[in-house]
Amino acid sequence: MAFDINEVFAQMLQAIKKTAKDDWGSIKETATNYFQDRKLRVELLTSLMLHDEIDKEFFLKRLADEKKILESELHSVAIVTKAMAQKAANAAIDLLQAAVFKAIG
Amino acid sequence: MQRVILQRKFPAIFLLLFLFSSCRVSLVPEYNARLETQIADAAKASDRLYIDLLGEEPLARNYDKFQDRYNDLEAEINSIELINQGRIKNDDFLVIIKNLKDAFQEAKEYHREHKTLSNGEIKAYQATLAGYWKPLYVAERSLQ
Repeated sequence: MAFDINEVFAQMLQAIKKTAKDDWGSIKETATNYFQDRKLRVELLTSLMLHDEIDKEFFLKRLADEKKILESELHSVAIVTKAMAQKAANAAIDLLQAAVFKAIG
Repeated sequence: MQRVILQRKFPAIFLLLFLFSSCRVSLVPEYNARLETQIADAAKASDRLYIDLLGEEPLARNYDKFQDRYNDLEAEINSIELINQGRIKNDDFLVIIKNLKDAFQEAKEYHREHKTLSNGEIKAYQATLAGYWKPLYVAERSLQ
């Protein structure tokens, strides 16, 4: 069985592209979702302060929380991205493995 | 002749098997379905705590009445942290959990110091803590 390295590499690249494309949607959705959540939270906190339901000091502490939540969200997106990269890389390796074993019979 | 070729192939096949078996990219921890459930349940309990607080009259919101629920939740967060400390590639998860833990302890301490909470404070803590839980849940689910 012939082993065409160019063909195998092209297939590996396609496998990476396909996995990345499938997962890119979920990363974009996650980031948009976090942004929307933040908007709603800040609107709620502002409304609570303007209606004297929380004082300014409490409001500022919750805004400080928003920085920490953003940090958590960035780490979360990093995990989603790494998981995607891992899936893409392993899909390419699986393809190479299958091609090599097919060639050596 | 064919036998000789096969004999020569065997070491190469074993070498390839060894290389491929060790050639898996690992950037994140392995998915843990039980941990995902634990995170979802704890986030729900945190939300429920503030829903129940809001349902009580202000004078019936004394910290002592809710102390056990705060302690149960804190123990759940500690358990989630411990499980994550035992995983490989856990750096991002540990930051998310530390932020959640600090925020929860601050909320608990605020209630303990002030004895009670206003409607506004309850709504703010409910929304803020949900914001801390979500990145952890989303991250665990992405490992599937």
